Amino acid sequence: MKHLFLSLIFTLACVYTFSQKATFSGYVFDNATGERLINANIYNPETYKGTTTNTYGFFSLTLPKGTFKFTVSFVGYNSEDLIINLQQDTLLSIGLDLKGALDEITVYGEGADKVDNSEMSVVSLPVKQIQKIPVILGEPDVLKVIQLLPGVQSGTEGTSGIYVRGGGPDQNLFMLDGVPIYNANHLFGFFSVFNPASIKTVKLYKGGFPARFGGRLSSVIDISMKEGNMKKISGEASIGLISSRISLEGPIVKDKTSFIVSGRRTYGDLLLQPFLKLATIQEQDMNLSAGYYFYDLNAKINHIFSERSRLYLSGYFGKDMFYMNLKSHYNDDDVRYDEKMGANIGWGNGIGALRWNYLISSKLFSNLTLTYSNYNFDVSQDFTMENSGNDKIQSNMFEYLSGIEDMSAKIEFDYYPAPQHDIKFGANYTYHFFKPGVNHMESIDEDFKDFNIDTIFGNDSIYAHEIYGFIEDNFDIGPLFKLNLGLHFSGFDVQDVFYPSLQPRASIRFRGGENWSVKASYAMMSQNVHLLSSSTISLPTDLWLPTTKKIKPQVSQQYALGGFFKLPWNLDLSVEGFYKNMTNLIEYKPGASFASSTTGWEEQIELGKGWSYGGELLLEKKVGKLTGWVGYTLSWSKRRFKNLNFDEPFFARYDRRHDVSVTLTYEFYEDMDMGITWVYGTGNAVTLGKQKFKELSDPSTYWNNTLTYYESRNNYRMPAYHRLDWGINFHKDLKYGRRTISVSVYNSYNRQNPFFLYWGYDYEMKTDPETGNTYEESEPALKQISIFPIIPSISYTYKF
Amino acid sequence: MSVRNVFTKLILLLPVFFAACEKTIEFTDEEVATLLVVNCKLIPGENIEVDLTHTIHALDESEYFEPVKDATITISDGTAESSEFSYVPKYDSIMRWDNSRQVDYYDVIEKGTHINKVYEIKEGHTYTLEIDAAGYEKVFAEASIPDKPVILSTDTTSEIESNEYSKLINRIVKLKFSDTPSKKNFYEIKAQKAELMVYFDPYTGETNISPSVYNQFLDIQDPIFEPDESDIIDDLISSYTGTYLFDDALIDGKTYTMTFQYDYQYLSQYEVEDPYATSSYNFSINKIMLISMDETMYKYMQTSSAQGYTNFFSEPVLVYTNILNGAGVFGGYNENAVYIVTHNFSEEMLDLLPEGDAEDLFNYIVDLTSEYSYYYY
Repeated sequence: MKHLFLSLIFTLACVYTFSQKATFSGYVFDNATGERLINANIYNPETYKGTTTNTYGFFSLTLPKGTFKFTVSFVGYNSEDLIINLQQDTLLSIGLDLKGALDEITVYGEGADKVDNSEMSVVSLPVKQIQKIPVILGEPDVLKVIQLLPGVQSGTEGTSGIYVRGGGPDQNLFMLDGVPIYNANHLFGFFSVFNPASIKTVKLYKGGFPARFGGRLSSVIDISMKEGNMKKISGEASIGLISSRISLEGPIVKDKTSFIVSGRRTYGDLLLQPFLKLATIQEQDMNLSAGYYFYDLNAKINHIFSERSRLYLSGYFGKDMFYMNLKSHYNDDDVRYDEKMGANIGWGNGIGALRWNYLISSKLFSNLTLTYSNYNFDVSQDFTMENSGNDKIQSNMFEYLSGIEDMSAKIEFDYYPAPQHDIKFGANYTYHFFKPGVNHMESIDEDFKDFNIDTIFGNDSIYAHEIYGFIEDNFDIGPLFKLNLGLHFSGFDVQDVFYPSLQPRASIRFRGGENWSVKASYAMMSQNVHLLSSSTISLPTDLWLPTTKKIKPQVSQQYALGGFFKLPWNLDLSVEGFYKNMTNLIEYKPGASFASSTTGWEEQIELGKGWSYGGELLLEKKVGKLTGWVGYTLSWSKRRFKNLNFDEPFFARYDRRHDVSVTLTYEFYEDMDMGITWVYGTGNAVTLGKQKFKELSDPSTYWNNTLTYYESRNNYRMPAYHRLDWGINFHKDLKYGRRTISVSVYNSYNRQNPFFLYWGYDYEMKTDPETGNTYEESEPALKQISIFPIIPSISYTYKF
Repeated sequence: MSVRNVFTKLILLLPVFFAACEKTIEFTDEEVATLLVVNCKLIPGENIEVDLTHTIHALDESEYFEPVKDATITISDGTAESSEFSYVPKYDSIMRWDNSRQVDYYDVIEKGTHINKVYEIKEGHTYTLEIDAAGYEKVFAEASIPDKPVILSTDTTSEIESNEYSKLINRIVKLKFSDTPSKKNFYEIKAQKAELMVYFDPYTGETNISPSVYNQFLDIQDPIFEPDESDIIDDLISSYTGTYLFDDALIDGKTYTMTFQYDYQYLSQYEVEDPYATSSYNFSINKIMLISMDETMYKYMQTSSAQGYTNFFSEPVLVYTNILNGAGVFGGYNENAVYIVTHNFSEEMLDLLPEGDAEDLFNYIVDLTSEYSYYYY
């Protein structure tokens, strides 16, 4: 009885205590467009205590009743000061105005957050900054900019594949509006699929992963698309050397419903056709067309039902295509025969997402997401021959298809019980459908009907169910410590096997002073999909494969420790060290290749482990006329596979000892800014046979008497990679908008960076002094192929 | 036409793009230390023959591996050791190309080995090898001699498939053998054919003899070659290289019968008016070998064989070596063989062959071939 009484008193005390508090919640948005702002700060300027908006621009602060002053700020926007007399729960939308280009941005932007929050190994990239950074062929590229950050390595020259903290290219979760994208590359990775005109925010997580993320070992690249201007129709069109893009956004119902549509296409193939015509002008009976193009289409529509309810529908479709078509004809015995031959290589992603935000209470925000994602790769070749009577005499066709298809449902909640306390929890279900390589062959010949073929063969499709649930709690312990503790549970059901995984996550911040803090984090991650890729060259033939009975999920554990400092002159410095171990990594067996495989994919792979460690330094300036960063990474990345390199550890392909990047943008005037980038990286590790030796002789074997000697896998370093890019943007306000002419130069000092190496020959013409005969003499040499020399480019953009 | 071919062809067009961006990389000798290469197969009852050469820089176009003559070689099984190796030179003629004169010419090369005729190699023993050669790091290696494989029986049959154009003779062997239990055993199945062709020229009355020895292609569809997790590249080897290596993972301690086809012969059904057709005779001996080897030799043979079957897109294949501070292989090897003789020699012609059993006659033809062989470098 006594216990019951005490419990009642306690409960009443809690109710009383809570009744003395009220919740200030709402949204922060851009006044000009209505676009909600992610990670905007709402804080009390005296105590710096406050919160930040979530992915949907929502915030919630529960405080004792009273009058409070708040400052609402976001990088690049004028801060807004509010005085709130908080006597009851208050829901408020706060609009911020964009700053003028030359205005000095007030402090306390994201720089203050970096010292204060418990997140580490995270970098946010403002899209405006991405657009100022000079890139190849004048095409701004999100992934190319991410490659400039410490801890992130690029692959071979020009590619936008990323390798984060010693991880593989499949260990990065690219999410566009919460939907995973399997192949984020166009043109073998020279461009990424993310059209900058449609992007709102980009956030990279390299470690210390919050519990809401899972499914990949090394990084999460969380990209949010713009929502669409709620106030007025606006747009952007850009013409560059290789591609053009257009974007249009605006209200369907002002302040209620908006849309955004953007598209991009390269036109190298269209420019190529006249040259092909010229090259085949002598061939009267032949018509050749060939080329390459890619296109993207992003679309999004959203509707605000009320302050509590909002619906988003978004989609992305992209396709790359190499094609060649040849038509020819000939006459035989007065019968005309027409031949057609075609070959195509295509790949692309398609995604769709339907999201519903609902504010259940002023402290509890919910988001329900239904998503669809697919990636397909196909190669086809066909040939037909018809006579003048349109009778098909002969035809054959070969097609190879591979891909992956996902359907997901996810529910997430953000709960804000107190100002320094927010809890996120949720669950997800995904249905995976893997198509790891199917061949279709058809052959018809009227003269040999007995030999006609129509068959399908290849690897069996695999179905899998994946679930996960998570809970993370972000809270303060006194003024010095802040913790983010979480638990991520996942399960993968495939081929009647269930792989459960419980992954603890933790990060802690110790704030030593107003301008510095120390953080530590631990994250265990599990990954149920694998990318089988060649070590010799990265191709879209790389296969996405599931965990199976034989192939176990990849698992990693990452530990990180870092110091974060706010320095004078608006400089932010972060220094981090990390150690990551990974198990169940996959690699092709020795000798195997996509070009010669005859057996199932599971027979071609090896399972092994890897580990990486290193340190990263990032000095950033996000405020003022001069912005940018200097990044440096010192790291080691190793692998060990029982049947590769004879069970001895070896350096991973993209082990890179030193990686330096300097990225600066400077606004000279309101109508002119400049960007400059310099990068340096230790050469990639490749396997190179430096010597040859005699094989154990077999009297009956007359061939292959010489073997190549490799002392170990990845035994040779390519030459170091470095280049300098710069670009200038000239802006001018016109009657209906603003135009920008961008001039940039990629690889300004024409550095020949290595793409791949091979043993070849140097040739020289010589004359025999005795006979006077000239002859060509060859000398063996190690040859390097580079792709991009100095490349100037110009583009014209018009915004209205 | 497969997808691989389509894609490979398109990819191979890329060099046209890349040609303008090609350059030579300085690759200096300092980066490469020349290593001693040891090739030695220890076979019970036979002389020890050590083929000692050195690695050649990748930029050196020559594929002639000059023997390292001056070396001190010591072999030991822990109880007895011997350094009585003597260098025995052998010579070969090779064809070379003179670029300035644009002509071929013959050259003579030396390819001798170090031979020890006094030290006896015994089954079940483990041997260490130590080689000290001036200018190279001292090398060490170890090898074990496996038990001789036990062939219990062979059963050979021939199948003839014929149609209006041709006749196919297909020989099938059922080889029954037993595996020694409780230890890891490594095997190779191999078939060689020694052939003596005799032509009587009806116009000149001359008799021409043509000896040859070559490895037979085996058509084996046997689960024993299914790769297990410990195999590196069994599937590749079995499919392409004509080398049939297997371990006893599936047959440990068991008696097993392996069935395979070999020695295909296509005969035309057409009548040909060829005087040689009625005056040519053939004497063939098929040697079917079951070879046991130590793990070192097994790994070496797997990897060296696979390296020859890679392409531009292939993952690199590192050749296994057990030579500390060097390259090559020092391994134990023990073979058991059966011989199958087929011929259309007359009694008189058989009298022309030397006395001896099938093994002797096989070795006789092998010796004859050495008189006809030459190599290209």
